[in-house]
Amino acid sequence: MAGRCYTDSAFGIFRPADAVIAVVARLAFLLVLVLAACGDDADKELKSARSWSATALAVGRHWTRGEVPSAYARDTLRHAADELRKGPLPAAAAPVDELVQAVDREDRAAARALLEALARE
Amino acid sequence: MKTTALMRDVLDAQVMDRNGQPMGRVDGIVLELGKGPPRVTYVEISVREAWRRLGLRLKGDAYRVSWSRVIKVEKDVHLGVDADDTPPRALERWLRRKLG
Amino acid sequence: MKKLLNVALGILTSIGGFLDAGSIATSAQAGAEFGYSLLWPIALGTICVIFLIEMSGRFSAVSGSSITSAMRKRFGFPFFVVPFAAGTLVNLLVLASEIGGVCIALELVTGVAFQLWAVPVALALWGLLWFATFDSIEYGSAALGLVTLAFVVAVVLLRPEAKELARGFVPTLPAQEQAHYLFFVVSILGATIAPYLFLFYSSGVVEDKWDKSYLRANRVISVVGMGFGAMISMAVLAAAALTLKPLGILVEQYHQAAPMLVAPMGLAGFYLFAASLGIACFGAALELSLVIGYTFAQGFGWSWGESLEPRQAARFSAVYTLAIVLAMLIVLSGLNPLKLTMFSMALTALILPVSMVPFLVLMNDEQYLGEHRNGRLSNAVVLVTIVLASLIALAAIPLEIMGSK
Repeated sequence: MAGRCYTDSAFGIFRPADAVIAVVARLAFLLVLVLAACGDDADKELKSARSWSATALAVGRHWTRGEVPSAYARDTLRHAADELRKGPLPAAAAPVDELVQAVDREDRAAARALLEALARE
Repeated sequence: MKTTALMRDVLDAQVMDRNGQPMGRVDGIVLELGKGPPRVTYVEISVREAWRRLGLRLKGDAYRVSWSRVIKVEKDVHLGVDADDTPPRALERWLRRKLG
Repeated sequence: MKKLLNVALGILTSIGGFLDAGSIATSAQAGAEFGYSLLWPIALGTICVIFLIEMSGRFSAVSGSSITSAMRKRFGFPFFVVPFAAGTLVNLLVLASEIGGVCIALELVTGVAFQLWAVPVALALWGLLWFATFDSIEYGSAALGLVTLAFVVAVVLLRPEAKELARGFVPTLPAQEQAHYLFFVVSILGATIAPYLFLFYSSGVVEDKWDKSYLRANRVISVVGMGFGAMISMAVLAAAALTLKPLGILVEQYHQAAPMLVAPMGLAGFYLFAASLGIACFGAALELSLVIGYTFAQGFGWSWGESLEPRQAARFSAVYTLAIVLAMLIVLSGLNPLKLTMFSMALTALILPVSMVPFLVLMNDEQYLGEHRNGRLSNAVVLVTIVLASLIALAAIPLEIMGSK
């Protein structure tokens, strides 16, 4: 019965088994690389923390100039504070928390003062 | 004369019914092996049959159309059947009823 | 005259539709971390995609078949199942990341958490596909998609140094963080060479009943449309390089990318960013939902067609509906949409050979294309890029997983 046809292609026998083997071989190679590779992550966490600090600074500044809406500023600053708390510079979260409160109060003057302090650090 | 190769032109080709409606694909070909040369007897239009070609042992009969109902084989396989009452369109019909 | 209109529309659709979650996410991150030095993968990917779009248009115009349909017929079901399954899985993940992008855009503007937008966005997506006509969808999203030109405007306003920009087109490896850099190369290639783009294009060509007389129009659309579209992607990278990198801001969430338009354009820039993100992702989501539907319908021989009423192609409609629901559930899970996007881009690059190599075989098949088969250049460009992407992906992805945990 011609039901089991594997010789469907012109360039030789293309069995699904071949395709599966190809995929599995790739995954195996991947696994070997994963086990053999070494990461460099302490550095990464510091970079991430600094990035969130810088984000807070930038977004805060934009907000005091009325260039971003309050909802976004609050959202992003909160994210920043949360990420800083989790990272290697938890102390940096506190001023960002205060910034969030300033945004809540729509207190641009206080925010500007906080930002200047943050920038100096 | 243009030749029709079973694997190249029939197997896995789109099937169209006599109204030009798509009717699935040729998922299998049935040959009759007897004393003489093998004869093509049916084309099967059933996804189950397609999965069986992968080696999966599925139960159930495949919907078969007699080879004599094949009108022509060009880009698609055209059958002189009305798709509307056939199993390949069963799911389509069921869904259409549900859609109102 | 009609052809000219087709060409113009095709170009606009390509430009407006080039950007999606993948290109925004990868370009923004790349610019923020590595400055201009990742412009070359965008260029390389674009050259490859220009060839691929031209090929898929040529294939469908000459043979009258969609790519998926021809793949099943030419290679048989047992082989077809592999690219079919892999492609569908990846398309689903990319669809989820696009829906995620729209939800984030809405969160940016309203402050309402992105997961809460998943259901309404999915509903809007589905509603449009179910009730609106193909033309209105395509032209609507093409027109709206032009809002992404805001990134180009931003770069012009930021006045980059031409010489430094040019250097970004020369492939170099940085002194540090090479694994991370390579991961970006892979993700950018995966974002630029998105299979869903030409599967969609091929189906459109079949549905619009293009024939050999459209071959030149097809070539123009691929080069001009994709070329200009790529410039927008590069503009995203450049804008990030000019505004985020100097401040040391990495893009770990979409929110951190918004300042790249705010710096040059103020509050208008903020809304343009949100609009660009939302519209680009929504347009891509429409295409992806259809592509998933097309793959099933064409692979299994069902009725298909966006211009058909849902009742006339019930299984096709059911499949894209299901796809949208599944993608929506992924977004609802709360996974960071940016991470989801990066992951699906890397995955795309990794499995590119699985769908592309058979496609190349098809493009050289005399039975389907006759005298319009591929030339050596087309074959070479695509093959080299795909092999490159796949090899780098094999190395870079595990290293990235190790590095980021």
